[in-house]
Amino acid sequence: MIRLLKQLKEIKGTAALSMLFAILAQGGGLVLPLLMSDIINNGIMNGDVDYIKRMGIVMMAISALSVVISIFNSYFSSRTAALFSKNLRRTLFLKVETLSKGDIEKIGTPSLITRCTNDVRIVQDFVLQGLRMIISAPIMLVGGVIMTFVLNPRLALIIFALVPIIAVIAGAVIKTVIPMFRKRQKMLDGINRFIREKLSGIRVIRAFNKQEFEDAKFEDKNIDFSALTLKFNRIMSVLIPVCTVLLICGLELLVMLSAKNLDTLDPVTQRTELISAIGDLQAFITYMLMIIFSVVMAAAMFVIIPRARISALRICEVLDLEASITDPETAETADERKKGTVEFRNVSFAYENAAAPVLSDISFTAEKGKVTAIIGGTGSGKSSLIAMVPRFFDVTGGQVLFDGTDVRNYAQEDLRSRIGFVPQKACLFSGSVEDNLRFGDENATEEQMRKALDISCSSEFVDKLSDGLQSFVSQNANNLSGGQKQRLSIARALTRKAEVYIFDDSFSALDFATDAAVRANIRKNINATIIIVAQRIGTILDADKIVVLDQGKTVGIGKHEELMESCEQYRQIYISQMGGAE
Amino acid sequence: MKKQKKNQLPEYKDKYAAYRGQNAMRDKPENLLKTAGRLLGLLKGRVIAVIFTVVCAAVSSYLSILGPDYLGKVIDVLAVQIESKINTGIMNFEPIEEILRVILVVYAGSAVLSFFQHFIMAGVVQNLITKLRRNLNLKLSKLPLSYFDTHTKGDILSRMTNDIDNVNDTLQHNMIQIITSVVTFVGVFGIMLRNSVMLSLTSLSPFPICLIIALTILNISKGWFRKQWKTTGDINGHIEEMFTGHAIVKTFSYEKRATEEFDLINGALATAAQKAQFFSGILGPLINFANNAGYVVICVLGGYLIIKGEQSVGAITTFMMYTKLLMQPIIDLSNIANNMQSSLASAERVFNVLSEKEESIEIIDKELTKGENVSFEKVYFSYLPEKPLIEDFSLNVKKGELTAIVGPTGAGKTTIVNLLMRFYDIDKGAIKIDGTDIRDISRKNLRNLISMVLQDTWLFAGTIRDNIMYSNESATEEEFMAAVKAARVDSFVNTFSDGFDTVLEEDGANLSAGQRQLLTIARAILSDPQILILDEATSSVDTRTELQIQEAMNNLMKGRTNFVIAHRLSTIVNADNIIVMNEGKIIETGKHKELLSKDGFYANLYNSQFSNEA
Repeated sequence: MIRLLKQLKEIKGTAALSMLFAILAQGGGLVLPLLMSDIINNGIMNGDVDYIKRMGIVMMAISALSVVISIFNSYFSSRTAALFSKNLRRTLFLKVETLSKGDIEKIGTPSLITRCTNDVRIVQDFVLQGLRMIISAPIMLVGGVIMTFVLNPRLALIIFALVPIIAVIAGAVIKTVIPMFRKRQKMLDGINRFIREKLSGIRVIRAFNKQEFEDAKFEDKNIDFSALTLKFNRIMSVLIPVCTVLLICGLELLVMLSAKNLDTLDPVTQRTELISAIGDLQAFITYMLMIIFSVVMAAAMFVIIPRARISALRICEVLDLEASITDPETAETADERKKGTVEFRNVSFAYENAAAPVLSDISFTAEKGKVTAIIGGTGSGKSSLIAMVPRFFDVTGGQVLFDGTDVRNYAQEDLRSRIGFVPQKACLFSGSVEDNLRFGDENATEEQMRKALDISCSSEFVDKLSDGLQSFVSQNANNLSGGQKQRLSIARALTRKAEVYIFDDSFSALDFATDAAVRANIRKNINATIIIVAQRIGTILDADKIVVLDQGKTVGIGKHEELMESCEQYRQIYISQMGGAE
Repeated sequence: MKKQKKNQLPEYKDKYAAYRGQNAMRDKPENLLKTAGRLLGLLKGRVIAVIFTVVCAAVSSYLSILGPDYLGKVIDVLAVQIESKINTGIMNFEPIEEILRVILVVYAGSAVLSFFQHFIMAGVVQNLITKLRRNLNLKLSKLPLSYFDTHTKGDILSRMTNDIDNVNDTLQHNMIQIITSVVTFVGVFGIMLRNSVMLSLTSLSPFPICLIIALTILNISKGWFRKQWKTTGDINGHIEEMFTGHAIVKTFSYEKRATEEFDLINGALATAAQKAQFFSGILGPLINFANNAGYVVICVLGGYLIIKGEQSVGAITTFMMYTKLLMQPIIDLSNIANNMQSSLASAERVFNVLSEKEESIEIIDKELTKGENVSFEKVYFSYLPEKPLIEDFSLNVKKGELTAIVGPTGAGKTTIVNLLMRFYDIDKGAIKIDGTDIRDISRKNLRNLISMVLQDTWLFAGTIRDNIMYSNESATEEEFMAAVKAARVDSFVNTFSDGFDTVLEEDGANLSAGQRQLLTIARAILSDPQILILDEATSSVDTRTELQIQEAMNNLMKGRTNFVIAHRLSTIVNADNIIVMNEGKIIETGKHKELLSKDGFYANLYNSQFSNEA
C-alpha cells in the first residue's frame, strides 16, 4: 500500500495542502467547544450580555475561519483523492496495454477490470478518508495522551496499560478480517466474470433455456458474497463496543485509584492539593473522553485500512506483472530490399505448461508481393503460426524473420505498423464505422477508407446503413451480420498501408461469391505480401505458395498442382470439398 | 497552460447516445426520493429487525446522552467527598463506587446495544443488497436482446459490481447513523420542549438556514454523484472493451488512441468524483457554521432574558447545553444525506435497468411437445422501424426435412433464426409450429423444442465436460460419449492431459476456432431437440473433419425439422429445399439440381466457389 501511496508524490503539493488544512480544521474543532462553554460559564451565568456579544463575535470569527479552512480541506482532499485515483487508473490501464495475451491470462480479464475500477475506488476512498479523518484521529489521540501525561503521569500510565490490550484486540480482528477482504474481492471478480460470460452468451443461454440454471448459479455466488460481507461486518461490529467498555473500565479504575490516593493525603497540610485535584480530575476525564472518541474513530478507520490494503495489493500485483513480450533495447529496422518478406525458420512453439508443442520445426518464406496460403486441419496450429508474426506470442524455437530481421529485434509498434492483420473472430469496437476503420490508420483519408470498403465488398452494405460511414457499430458489432462483421474487419486492415496482410481464416462467414470477389479485389488492388489461413480450398487454390500443416508440422509446400501430386493430406482436403466435382 | 488543459477535456461523447436515441432507451434521472423509496421497499420482510434496531438505537442513544452526564456527576460526588475529607478527614467511597457502577452499566449497556444494532443492521443491509443483486441478475435474464445491443458490457458490469458495492458501503455505514441521529434529535428536542416550548422553537431557528444550505448543496452534489457513477460505468465499459479486444488493440498499435479516450473518460470521472466529494465535504462545516451562528444568537437572547428576569440562569444554561446536543445530529444527518446521495445515484442506475421494458409478456395458451411443422407466414420484421429487413417471408418446413437457407451475407438469414427463437418478435405475419403461433406458447416451451448451433461459439470457463453437458445435464455417460464421438471432439480432447476435465479459459480461448465449433456441435447433439438449427456451425472446421462429422450430422437430422445456414456446399447439396435469400426476401427456392438448372442467383453463388476470379 505504501508503494501506491508513493504515487501521491506526483501530486504532493495538493496532498500536503490538504493535510495542512485537515490539521488546521482539527484545531478549530478543538477550540470552538471551549468557547461555547466559556460563553455559558462566564456570559450566561453572569447575565453579561456584553461579554456574550464579545465572545459571540470571537466565536463567529473563529467559526468562519474554520469554515474557510474546512472548505479548503475539502477541496484539496477531494482533489488529491481524485487525482490519485485518476493517475492510478491510468498507470494500470497503460500497464495492461503493455502485457501480452499470455500475461493477461495469468490474472484474467474480468479480474483486471475489477482491479481497474473497484479496487482503485476502494484505495481512493481510503486516501480521501485518510486525508480527512485518519490524520485527525491520531492528533486527538496523541494530544489527549500528552495532556493526560502533563496532568498526572502516574494516572496516564493506566491508559498506557490499556493500549496493548486494545492493540491486541484490534490486531486479532484485523487478522481475521484481512483474508476475508481478499476473498471478497476475488468473489467480486467471480461475479464480474459470471455476468460478463452471461452477457456474451445471452443467445445460447436463452436458446438452451438455461436462464434458471444460470440464475441459480448466480444466486449461489450472490449469497456467498453477501454472507462473507455480512460476516466481516459483524466481526467489525465487535470492535468499537469492546474498546469503549475497556476504556470506561480504565477510566473507572483511574477515578478509584485517584480517590484512594486522595484519601491518603493529609487534609490539613495538603489542603491545596486536595482542592486542585477536582479540577485536575475533571480535565483528566475530558481528555479521557477525547481519547475514547478518537479510539472509536480509529476503530472505524480499521474497516477501511485492511480493505484498502487488499485492494492495493491486487493493484500492485498487476503493476508487478512483467510483460513477457518486450521491445529490444536497441531496435533494428527493416531491410528495405526485402520489403514484405516473412520467413519462418525452424519455428517451434509450445504454450506454457503444455506437454506437446503446437508447432515444430516449420520453415518457409512468404515472398514479397506474393500470396502464401496456409491450410490444415482443425487445431493443426495455423492460427498459432501466424500469431508469431505480429508477436502475439514469441517462438519457443527457431526464428520468424520480417524483412530479414528477427521480429524480436523490432520495436513492437514498428513491426505491427507494417502488418495488416485480420483475426479469425471479427472483433469490432463500439463507435462509428469510420472509427473502426481508423483503427487501421488514424490518419486515413476518406478515399483510403472508401477504397478499403470497396475492396472488402463492404461498401454495398455500409452505404445502405442510415448514416453511411458514421453509422453506429455496437460493441462486438452485434448489430451487424457475421459476414458484415468480417468484411468490416478486413476493411479495417486494408485501411492501413501495410507490407504484409495476414488473413486468419477471415473469409469463413462470407458466401462464396463475396469471398471470391474480395480476394479478387485484393489481388487486383493490393500490392503487398499476403498470408492467408483458410479452410476452404477455393480460397487458396490460386495462391503462389500453399503450406499444408498437419498437427503442427509442415507436410507439403508448393503450388496447387504440385501438392495435388505430392501431398496426400492436401489431396484429401481437396476431395473433401470439391468431391471431384470440378 | 492550465486553461488549455481545461479546453482539452471536453465532454466526451457517449457513443451509444445517438443510437439509443432511436430506440428511446437511456437512463433517466429519476426523483431521488423515489429511488430511496424503492430502496427502502427492499426492506420488506425485515420490518421487525428494523424496528428492533430502532429500539436499540433509541435506548443506546439515550444512554450515550446520559453517559457524559454521569461522568460529570462523578466529579460532583468526588468533590463532595474531598470536601468531607478536608472538613472531617473522612472519605466515603460508597457513593463513588455507586456512581461508578451506574456509569459502567450505562456504558456497557450502550455498548451491548450498539453491538446488537450493528449486528442486526449488517444482516438487514446484506439482505437488501443480496436482493438488489438478485433482482438485477434476474432482470438481465428477462431483458430483450435489443437492450444488450445498445449497452456496453462493461457498463452493465459496473452496475452489478461498482454501483451495488457502493450502495452496500454507504448503507452499511449510514443506516445506523441515520437511526441514531434521528433518535437523538427527536429525544433531545422532546426534552427541550418539556422545558420551554418558546425556547425550543427558537433553538430551531438555524434550522431553516441549515435546510436551505443543505438542499442547495445536495442539489449540486447530486448531479456530480450521478455523473461520477455514470462515468464509472463508462470507464468500465471502455476498459472492458479494450481488454477484451486486446489483441486487436495491439495489432493496430491502437494503444495510444485507446489511452487518449481512456484519459478523456478518466478525466471526466476524476472531475466528477472531485466535485462530488468537495461538495459533500463542505456541507458539514457550513451547517456547523450556521449552527454556531444560531448558538450565538440564542446566547445573546438568553442573556437578555436573564437580565429582564424572564428566565433563570439555570434554565438558560441547561437549555444551551441541549442546543449544543441538538447540533450534532443535524450535522451528522446532513453528512449522511450527502453520502446517501452517492448511494442513491448508484441505486438509481440499478433501478434504471430494473425499470427497462422486459421481453413481451407471455401468453401461454398451449404447450407443444413436438415440432413437426414449422411455417413462416408472410413475416415482416425490422430491427429499426425505418429499415425493413424481412419482408413478406413465407416458408414451410416439415419433419425429417432439411431446409437450407443460403444467400449473400447480410441477407437476413440469421435474422430468420432469431425470429424463430423469439429473440426478437416479428412485426407482422406469423411463425407457427404445428399450426400454433409461437407467440401463444412460452419462450421456454419454444426453445425446449429447438436446439441451435451458432456461428459465434459460446463457451464458458469450466471443464470441457461441463460445457458439452450444458444442453442436457441429465445425459448419461454413454450418451455423452456418443455425442462426443459423433462431433469428433474426442480426437483432440484426448491429446489434453486432463481430457474432458480440461478447464477452458473464458470463452474457450485455449481452443482453436474449429475445436470450439466442434464442442458446440456436441452440445447440440446431446440436447436431442425436435427442431435443429445450424447457423454456419462448421465454418471454422476443416473440411476433412467436417466430412467426418457429416454422417453424425445426417443421423442427427433424421426425424427432426432442420434448418441449415451454410456457405459450404457439402451440407446444402442434399437439402430437401434450398431457400435463396437476398435483402430479406426469398428469391429462389428448390432443390440443388433444380436451382442449378435455373442458372439464376443460386447457380451464380454456387459456381463462384470454383472460379478463381470472380
